[in-house]
Amino acid sequence: MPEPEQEKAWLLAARNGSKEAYGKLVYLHQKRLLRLVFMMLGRRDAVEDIIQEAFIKGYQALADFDLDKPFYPWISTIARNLALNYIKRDLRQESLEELEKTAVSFAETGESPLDDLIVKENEKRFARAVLALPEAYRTVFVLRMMENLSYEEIAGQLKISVGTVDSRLYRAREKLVEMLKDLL
Amino acid sequence: MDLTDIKHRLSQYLDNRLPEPERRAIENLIRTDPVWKEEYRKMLALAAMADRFSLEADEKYWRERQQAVIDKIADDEAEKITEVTGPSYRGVFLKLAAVAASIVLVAFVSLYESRDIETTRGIFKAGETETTPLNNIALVPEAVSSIARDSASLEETAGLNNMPQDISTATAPADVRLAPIDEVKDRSALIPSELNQSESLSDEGVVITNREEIMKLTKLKNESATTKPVTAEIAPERMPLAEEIETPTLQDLKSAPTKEKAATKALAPKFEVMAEPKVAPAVIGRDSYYDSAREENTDDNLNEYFRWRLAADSLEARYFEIVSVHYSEAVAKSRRPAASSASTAKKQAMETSAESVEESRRPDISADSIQHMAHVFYQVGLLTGNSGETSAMRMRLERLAEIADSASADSLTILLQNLESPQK
Repeated sequence: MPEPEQEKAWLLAARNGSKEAYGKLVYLHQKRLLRLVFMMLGRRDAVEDIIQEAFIKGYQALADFDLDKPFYPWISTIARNLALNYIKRDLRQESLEELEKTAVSFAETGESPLDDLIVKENEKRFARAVLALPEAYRTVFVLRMMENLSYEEIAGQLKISVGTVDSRLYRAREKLVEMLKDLL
Repeated sequence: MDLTDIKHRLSQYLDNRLPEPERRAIENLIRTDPVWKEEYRKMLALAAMADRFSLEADEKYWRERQQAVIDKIADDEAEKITEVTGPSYRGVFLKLAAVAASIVLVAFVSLYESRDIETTRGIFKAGETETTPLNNIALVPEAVSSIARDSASLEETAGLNNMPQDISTATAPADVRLAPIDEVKDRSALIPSELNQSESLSDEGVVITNREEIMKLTKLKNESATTKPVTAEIAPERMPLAEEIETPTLQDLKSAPTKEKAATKALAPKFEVMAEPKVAPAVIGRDSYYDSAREENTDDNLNEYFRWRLAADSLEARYFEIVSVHYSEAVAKSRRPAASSASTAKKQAMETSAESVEESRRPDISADSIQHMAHVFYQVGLLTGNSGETSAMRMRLERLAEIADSASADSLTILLQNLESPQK
């Protein structure tokens, strides 16, 4: 990770129109963003498009960004919102049953859309297990365990109560422990 | 607590969401119960796995993703620039529309200015009033031709006369005064010199110092009238005013002789004072005409007419016993001694013979003054659109011709002929 001052310099240059400087920020944060969005959606085709769109929107909104704050939380919020919109708009059209069948299929066949990007076997299994979670549970788990958002932040993001976040997180953990009990 | 509740508490304990008593209870349970200790360990392992999870790919993949983002940003910027600066059919259409509108406007103005003026003048038919709707306006051929003739006459007359803008203050270079009238650019060059020397006027009469100029103007006017006969006729709108500008009757003059005389003396020194027609006895009856005419007509020719008319009124007021054709012989004789003490003896001698009767009608006024007055009356007769006033001016010229010497009488005859020709 670069020093905060280095990231700030890139942001300042990008705000002044330097696409090269913004490219460095993209290169720096795209892996983490890809993990977030991938674990939220579980669909590779949409993941790459959403990541790209998030970076473009971030570049267009750089004038509104506070240079004294870290870049990732800000850009991840954009990506997360895009992912959630995608979930509401597209994934909800498929029944949860279908999604769970897909997740089970991943788990049974040992393949996931991003298998080529997961080197370690235990991580592949972990990914399959997370993607096998119901969307409501999976999103809360990813935001809490992988993005380290607080209950309150998750509740505000998903427009649900803190109690719902708490219960969904417990359900997600319980299921994952059950699915990954031989790895834990 | 049942098992489900304990697992839920473990999840909350992991996120430090439990209050202090429950946290201590869970910590005690984990520390003392191997089952719950194992359950807690699995949750910690799951959290660690989630935290360690990452997507790995070769450098090429990440560079491609990075370049894709940069390329997309560049494409979007180029697209926006094209939208702003690129050719726009809307802009082209607006430009074409503006050009077309300009062409139409120019064409309209050109057509408007080149239209036949006679066909656009609205003349009311007989019996119609000014409240006649515009869509009912019809052109009366006779009235149109009359106005056109009247307009042409006024314009021509104005050009020939070269009247001064301000008769009391205008000055003219001496070398320009004798130039041919067509070559004179400044109309003030042809101002009668007496009008510029008004301060030299005295009770004895107008002092004319440049008689050649008067004769030159008269000659030029005569030539112009010959080649371009003046065809001024009474404009229809002026017809009702004709009766108002008749010369004062003898009864009028008799009714206020003292007042008239006092006003005449007061007016004598300067033309500026003479420019007050209300105090001149001969024009008292014309005030209403002047006022109404000024309000209704802003024609430059009419303004020129008014200037000459003021001069004529002043002279008429000053020499009313000379120019008034209605002034009786008795009145003239009764006033003549007061005009000049030097002529008293001469006048008394005139009364002794039959020839002296005719001589008694000739007041003490120089030939040049008669010429000057004649020119002023002539100008008024030319400029007025009122045949009645033209006749009045003609009668004054005849009166002046009667008292003028033979040389002046010749020039007055020419003026009379010019003034009569338009009436024919």
